[in-house]
Amino acid sequence: MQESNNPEKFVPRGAIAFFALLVTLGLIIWFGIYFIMLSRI
Amino acid sequence: MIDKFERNVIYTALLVSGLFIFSLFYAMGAKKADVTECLPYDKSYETARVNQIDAHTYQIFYVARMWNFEPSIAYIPVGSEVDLFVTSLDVVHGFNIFNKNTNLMGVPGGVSKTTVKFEEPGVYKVVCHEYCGTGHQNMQAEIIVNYPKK
Repeated sequence: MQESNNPEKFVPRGAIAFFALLVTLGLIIWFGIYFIMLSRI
Repeated sequence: MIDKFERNVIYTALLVSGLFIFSLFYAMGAKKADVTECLPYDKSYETARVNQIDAHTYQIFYVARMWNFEPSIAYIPVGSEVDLFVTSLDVVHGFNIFNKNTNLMGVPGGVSKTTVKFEEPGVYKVVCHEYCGTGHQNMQAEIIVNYPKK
């Protein structure tokens, strides 16, 4: 609670976690299709 | 002065984009993934045929129309490299070989070309995967690789 009252020390942990999750999900989907494609050459 | 979180997001985006671009060039270069071409159109592509160039190189000229592909069956020896040319006489059709890395469009007035190598014997189903009307689900062809022998 103290942290959110002080704008200088604010760290957007939720946004960072959400961003990391989106990037990870994108990588899994993209490389999933990519390796299927390579196996069918 | 750029915010440190904003800077980290930019670095991450650049890193991931670089990884994607490197992977594409790796597939095209080291793995020799064929990139589909669009060729200049002429009337000769409207005649479906199979040409043998040498013992292991073939050309198949596919003509798509509602709702079949010509030639509907093509016989190819194992280990052949096949240049596929696809055009359409009516609407846009899809051209997908099941379990191969082939995804073309048959466009009226256009020619799509790709090259596929058939290392394993079997019956390779070709299906239309672009909705083209009421008979779309029955639109298919076969590439028979050394089975039955002919």
